[in-house]
Order: sequence, then C-alpha cells, then structure tokens
Amino acid sequence: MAIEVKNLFYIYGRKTPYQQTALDDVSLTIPTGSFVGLIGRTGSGKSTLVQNLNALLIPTEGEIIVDEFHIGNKKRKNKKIKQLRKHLSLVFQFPEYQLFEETVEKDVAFGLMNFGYKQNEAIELAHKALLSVGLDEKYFKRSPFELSGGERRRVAIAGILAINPDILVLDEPTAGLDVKGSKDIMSLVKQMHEDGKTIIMVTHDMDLVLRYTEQCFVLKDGKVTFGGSTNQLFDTISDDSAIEIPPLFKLAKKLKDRGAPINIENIKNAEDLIKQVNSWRKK
Amino acid sequence: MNNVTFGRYSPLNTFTHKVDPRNKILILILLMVSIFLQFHVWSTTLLLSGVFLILLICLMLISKVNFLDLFKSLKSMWFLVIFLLVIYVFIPNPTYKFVCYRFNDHYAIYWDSFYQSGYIILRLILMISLTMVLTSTTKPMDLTYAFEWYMTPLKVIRFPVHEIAMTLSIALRFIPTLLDETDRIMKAQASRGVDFNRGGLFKRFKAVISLIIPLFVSAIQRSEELSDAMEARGYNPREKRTRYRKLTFSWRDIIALLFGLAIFGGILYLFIYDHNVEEIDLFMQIFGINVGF
Ligand SMILES: Nc1ncnc2c1ncn2[C@@H]1O[C@H](COP(=O)(O)OP(=O)(O)OP(=O)(O)O)[C@@H](O)[C@H]1O
Ligand SMILES: [Mg+2]
Repeated sequence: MAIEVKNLFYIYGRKTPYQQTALDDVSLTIPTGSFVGLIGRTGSGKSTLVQNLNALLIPTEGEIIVDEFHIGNKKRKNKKIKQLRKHLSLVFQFPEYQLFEETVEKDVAFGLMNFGYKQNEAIELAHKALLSVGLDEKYFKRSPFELSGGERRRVAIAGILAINPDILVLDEPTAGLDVKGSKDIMSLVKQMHEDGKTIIMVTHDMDLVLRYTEQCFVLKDGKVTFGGSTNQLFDTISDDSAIEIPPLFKLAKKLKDRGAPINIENIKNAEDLIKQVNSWRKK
Repeated sequence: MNNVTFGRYSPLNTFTHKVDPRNKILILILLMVSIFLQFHVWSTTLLLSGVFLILLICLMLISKVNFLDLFKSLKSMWFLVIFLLVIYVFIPNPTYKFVCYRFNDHYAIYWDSFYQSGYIILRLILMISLTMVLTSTTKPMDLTYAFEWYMTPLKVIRFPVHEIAMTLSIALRFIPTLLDETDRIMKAQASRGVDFNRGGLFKRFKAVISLIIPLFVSAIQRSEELSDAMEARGYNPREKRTRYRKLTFSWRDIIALLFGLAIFGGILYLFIYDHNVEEIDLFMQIFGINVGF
C-alpha cells in the first residue's frame, strides 16, 4: 500500500468561533502504482485531504502512513517531512500563483534546489520538465509573469514534475485550461502513471475520472461515501447532483440494458465502446 | 499563519457587540486619555493603573474576548520592553531621585528608570487590550462607517471623507483574504521543499522572497480586478449613497456612554486635584496610610 489513512479528522480554526470540521473520520487505502480519483462537490474536503497527505496540514486526529513515512497529530513527532514532500508531491489548486523567479527555468529549478540538487543539474532537469509540459526553449528565459494563465499553470506543474516524486497528487490540474492544455497535462500524467508512479487526482471533470482513474473515492461533507472501482461507481450511483455520470458511460449502460453484450467494467473512453460495439455487430 | 487572531472580530452577541460603533470609538478615546494622564506621585499612578486593569478584565469578560489571544499578542512585546529599559536606564533624567546603584559622580542607575519604563509598558498594554476589545467586538465595516461619520464635518472643506472611508474599509476587508493567501502560498512553496523555519540566512531570505513576490503580484492583480468590478457596476464616489444597515442609538449606548464619561470625569477630577495640591499622595489620602518616601 502506498498510502493508508486511518480515522483522519481535520478541523479548521479549532476552538474559535470559526471552527469547521473539514474531514470527519476519513479512512482509505491507496495501492502503489494506482491512478486514483478524488471527487466530491465544492467544500467537501478534497483539498484538505490532499494537504494532509504531505503534511502541509497536520491531522487534528488520526494518522496517515505514506510508505515509510508516518504522519500523526503530534507536530514534533513528524520527522523527515522534507523527504516526504519529495516522495509525495502535491500540485496545488491554481499552482500558477506560486511562481516568483525572474525566469521560467529558474522557477522550475527552485524546487529541485530546495531538495538538494546543484544549480546546473537542476537547470538541466528543469529544461527536461519544461519540454515535457510542452514549453520549448523560447520560454526558458522568459519571466513567468508575462505568460498566459495556461502557460503559467504548465510552468508550475513542470516545477513539481521535475522533482520526480513517486507519488504525484494533483488538485484540479485541468480547471480553467483549454481543451488542448488539459489534454497535454493529462497525457503527461498518464505517462507518469505508466512509468510506475502512483497518481491521485482531484477533479470535477467526470470524463477525466472515467478515462484515466482506476479507482475513486467520493467525499461528502468530509466523509468518504464511496471507495472502489471507478466504473463500479458510475454503474451504481443514480443521477446524483454532485456526480454526473459521463454521457459515454450512460450510453454504454443504455445499450447494455437493451440487451447488447457490453462489458461496463472496460469502458474508459469512446474507443473502448466502439470496439465492443463493433465486435458485437460482427457476431 | 492562522494564529494571527489578535483583535480579530469574533461573531458573538454580547453587550459590547451591540453598542453602537461610533459610541465605542468615543468611549475608547475617553478611556485612552484617562490612561495617559500622568500624576505626580507614583502611588497614585499605581492605584489608578490597578483600577484600569480591573476595569479591563471586567470589560474583556463581558465582551468574551479570549485572554489567551491577548497574552499571545503581548508575548511579542518583549523586544520593546528591553528597548525601553535600555533607553531609560542609560539616559537618566535629571529629575530622578532614587538611586539604585551609583558607579561614580556622573553616572548612576536609578529606580525611577525601571518605574518609568514599566509604567509606559503598562499603559501600552492597557491601550492595546482596549483596542483589541474594540476590534474584536466590532465588524470592520461598522468601524469604518463610524470613522466616516466622525469625519463628516470635514466634507465642508472638501476633504474626501467618503473616498478615505471606502479605501479603509476595502483595506480592512482584504486583511483576512491576504492572510489566507499568505497561508496558501506558504503551503504551495512548502510542497516545493521550502522550509520557512530552518536553514541559513540565505536560504531563509530566499524563502521569504518566494512568499512575498507572489503575494504582491496577487494583491496588485486583486486590486485591479476590484477596481474594474466597481467601475463596471457604476460606482461613483461623488454620488450620494444609501446604507443597508443604519447605525442606531439604544439604551445600551446610553449606559456605555455614561460609564465612559464617569470614568473620564473621575480621573479628570483627580488629575486637576492632584495638580492643584502639590506633593500630596492621593493613595495616602484615600487609605490614610503613608507608603514612605
Ligand atoms: N483555511 C481555511 N480555514 C477555514 N476553513 C477552511 C479553510 N480551507 C477550507 N475550509 C473549509 O473546509 C471545507 C473543505 O474545504 P476544501 O478546500 O477541502 O474543499 P474542496 O473539496 O477542495 O472544495 P473545492 O472543490 O471547491 O476545491 C470547506 O467547508 C471550507 O469552507
Ligand atoms: Mg479544493
């Protein structure tokens, strides 16, 4: 298991009039090498959960085990936090607001240098990461503040990818990007998954959830209401207001209900469905 | 970053919360002036400071202000304490009388130095606490309305009262937002391996830069967006405006005002009395005892 969360509680503004329970007895396990989706409506506690995973927030109660690292509710007892953050890196919701260096390459290298890389080594890795998010040499020396929102997002994501963590957590990586931008980022994430990394992705886009994730967890008011295979989730839920079943999946379900021999478990994208329908027609 | 709770408005429903903000400001000014009146004899000052401390504690209990917050915010005053002590000890005033330790004919350490600096600290603590009671029981918006109300007469001389009040209320409105933003950026940088609490001087400097630049950028961006949004909705500072919530005076305000006036009047009376009758110790007069000197 890559991640084990046990009876996790998180309360914002504890013992003040603003107290708010964001996570309420959350327990879940995420196996190594899986691609996991984290969904739920706005304010359900998704961002809070992922911030607990790399000790940016310290659990109010409960514990988290990330491979060899252990996070408990005693701040002082949590050691090796820096190593943990190199092992499990988090791409923040709207990461473009964290840029500050004078050039794009320096900003990407900044994280690497914090984790102990030498400057020229870091710059080299930064170039690689930037190329992989689709930003070529022209961008290396530009100031991050004169880029568009989408380009800035790519720079910020490159900053985390360059660290090359074993577990990558993305908090709404595609929110506000155009179709191409979102596709580029997702294919990059997919590539990382194929390289054996564990991926956890928070998103509101159910098409992405269906297409990429194997498993998903649904949060509602700080509680986990579903944990299991993604296709099973879409198969079992009704048209809930928080989770909209992707149209493709609905179509597959309808076909199956009408008697077509469709294997719902294998539908991830349009091609899968077409393949199944074709082989069915041939028969 | 969320431990900056000092004087933050807490949404309760106590007596102090319900008092009109204009009234609260007036009473605060009255109390502050009373605190700052200086008496001849140290025991009088001590006695009055004690009275003020008790009053303050009562006020904080009534307003349900968290004592812990107060102590937390006072903790950061130690630097000021040392600074004042050093200044007072090394630059003695010729009127000082009570020698603590004499080095030679020209130089000595006086007890007065400690007393003077202690007295200043005490007054500062009293003022900070009182201000904290005001800000934690009054919504920032109400505070700015009250300021605007007090400055209304200045409109006659074309002083931009409304503009200043608007700027002030926007600034106050955005303090929590900026704190949240700071928190968010710190976390984002921490996940890139920045350690804000450890490391050498250069590392720390870099860490602070990585926080400040994004913060400035987003603050400037926010202000541009806000001004565009205000313009798009037809905001014009010269137009006459109406208000959603009117400030009203109630029986609570009368009680509070009477209380403030009574304290102010009492202290002022003692002050005048003290200055007319030279060298008389009020403490002695009141309790009929002599505390020496
Ligand atoms: N810094 C904070 N202080 C106080 N309460 C907070 C803070 N951050 C989040 N919350 C509260 O905690 C709850 C969960 O917030 P969280 O950001 O985890 O939601 P989310 O699921 O990520 O939502 P979204 O989809 O909008 O990103 C919300 O009710 C929110 O109001
Ligand atoms: Mg979120």
